[in-house]
Amino acid sequence: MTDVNRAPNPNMGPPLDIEDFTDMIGFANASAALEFLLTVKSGIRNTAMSLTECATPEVRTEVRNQLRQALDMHEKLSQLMINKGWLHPYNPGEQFQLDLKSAQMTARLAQMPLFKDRIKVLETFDTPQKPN
Amino acid sequence: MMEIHELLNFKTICTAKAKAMDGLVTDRELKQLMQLDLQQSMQALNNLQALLTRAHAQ
Repeated sequence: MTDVNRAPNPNMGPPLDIEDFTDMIGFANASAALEFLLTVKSGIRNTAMSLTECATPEVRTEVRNQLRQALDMHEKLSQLMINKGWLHPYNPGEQFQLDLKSAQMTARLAQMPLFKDRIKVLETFDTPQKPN
Repeated sequence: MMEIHELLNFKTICTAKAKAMDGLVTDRELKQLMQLDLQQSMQALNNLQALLTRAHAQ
């Protein structure tokens, strides 16, 4: 079916089967929360690294405030995710199962022909070629 | 100087993403936290811009 030498077209998957995607809204929220968590963690790393490169006390103070804010946000968000059952930091087995399920669900979503109706419209907004 | 510039870029994307995600998230508590993050990101952007402009002026 799929040629191994060519990447499969992600818009040519099996037709939409709503039966299998009953809790789509919940899944979208959980995914958004995970994305948010990764962004916050990435922000903490970036800010902490910058803090070691600051030139003036003024800059250092601002960056340190931003680091504190990011750590605070991480605290709030991970607590929220634990409460909702989206994060299990003290139960790696449970977490692993959830992650595997999310990965499989997302992989199947990626196979779906979601934006077929938009292809034509989006093509009209292609970046114009610079004349050589 | 350069690291502040990189933080500015990071925060710019954070702000854009938080704004876009607002249209995707339906969970009320998560939405509230993301809106707080958006406000904080915008404030952080302003502060970083102020620092950069001052650094340029010197």
